[in-house]
Amino acid sequence: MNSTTALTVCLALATMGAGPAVHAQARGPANRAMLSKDLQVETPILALDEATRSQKMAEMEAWLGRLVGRFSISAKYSYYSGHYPIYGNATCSRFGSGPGVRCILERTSSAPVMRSPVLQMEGTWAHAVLLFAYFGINADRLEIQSMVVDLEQVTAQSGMLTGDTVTFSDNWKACLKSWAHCWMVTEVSASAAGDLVMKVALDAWFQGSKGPPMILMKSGHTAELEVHLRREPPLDASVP
Amino acid sequence: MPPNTALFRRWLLWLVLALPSPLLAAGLSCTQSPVGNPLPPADSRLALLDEVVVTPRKLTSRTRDLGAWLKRLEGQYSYDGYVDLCGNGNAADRQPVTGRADCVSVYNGNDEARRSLYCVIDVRWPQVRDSNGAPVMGGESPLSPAVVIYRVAPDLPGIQLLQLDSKGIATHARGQLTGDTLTATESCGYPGLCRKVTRITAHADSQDISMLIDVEVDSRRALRHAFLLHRESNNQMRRGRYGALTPDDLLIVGER
Repeated sequence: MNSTTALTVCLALATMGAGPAVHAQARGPANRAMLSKDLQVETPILALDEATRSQKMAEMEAWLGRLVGRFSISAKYSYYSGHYPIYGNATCSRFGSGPGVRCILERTSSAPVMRSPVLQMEGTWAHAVLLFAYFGINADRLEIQSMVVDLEQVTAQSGMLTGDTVTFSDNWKACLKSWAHCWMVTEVSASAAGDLVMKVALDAWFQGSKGPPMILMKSGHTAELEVHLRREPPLDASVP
Repeated sequence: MPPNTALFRRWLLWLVLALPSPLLAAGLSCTQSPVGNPLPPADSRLALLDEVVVTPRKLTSRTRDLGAWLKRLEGQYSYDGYVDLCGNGNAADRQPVTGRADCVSVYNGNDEARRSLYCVIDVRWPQVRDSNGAPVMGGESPLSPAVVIYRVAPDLPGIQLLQLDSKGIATHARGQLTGDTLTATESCGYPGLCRKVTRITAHADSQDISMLIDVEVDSRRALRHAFLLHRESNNQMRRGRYGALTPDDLLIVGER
């Protein structure tokens, strides 16, 4: 091997060495699946070709962009013996320089005091007056990730985007069972028309119970909340 | 596979793995050999970040102990430390870090299983690109801003971490606590032969927290974030019934 050939081989190897860091996405799905097993990474990795992956990423970024804006909230809280309205407002803005979004949902008025012992439980939306909902891309699962922080707990779920809607898991086992309650976002729809719909499920347990939650609705949950977010004009719309 | 071919592939594999990490650093010109410690004397405590020794001790499994450790992370912090863009320990490849964090317990009652922490962080370092002006791995902070939530995971048993960075990428890790150090492993949040290992050490009654976040590519450390957080304050939130936050307080997390 002459020096030129040796240099060429070295350069080729150097390029191969640089590959995993910069052009890792060019690797095939088989390698990624193997890595997941070898490194015992818990997060499942989808075996998709690069074109499909890029398309899904673009779809999720576009969907996240639809969340941005100011909204008025009109929600219906349904429980075993009826329902009542909740009103409020929401502001969703970009979080950072990427497609991530942070929404601040604030309740402005609610139903009168409920007599149901279930609804008296702390943490139901009857009590919730403010929450932060963060949305981003779970790049491993190629799903939308939600992280919700309210006045007394945090929840996080990942859901797949289909059309205009992201459907999140509503498995109560994802909740910590020592909690007396757990509510989670089960669905978020963002149509191109501009309005949003967010569905929330509430599961409640008797304190100390290790079994499934009190199932009081046909859906299998203790209570449900459907939040309609109607888009409002931006604050600076009147500025010439 | 003919023996010669197999031998050649093994030789290639060995050669690739033997290549120095500059090649893993995506075109970044990394220092080839260790140089003297350039850390200013005032930052000598940063040397502690170079190695976090996890003393072999029993895993912490009791929920209340996990919750108590998580409570050590409460407070408002300034950041010190560096990002080693080549991950090979050469001080010349380090970028100094500045930043701040605000971490608050969302639940502050007596049930430690419900303990969760909400952190808003803003961590920066000088942007680095390769000689062609192209981005390099770790060359730009994805943590300005970022939100991180921690919560007790009794089923592990351990602690769960979730992060949304400023690039819109969400990552999730579950870690176990040994002594004062939480060790969590996750995928990088980006495709490839890559994983991220996070080690957070928080001693009781200490004002400092160390964080080592290593990105490993092909089982080789390609990037290291070494953060030293110093607690500047620990402004407690007002609490409502059962330890719940008040709306006004939740709104100012990250703004203090």
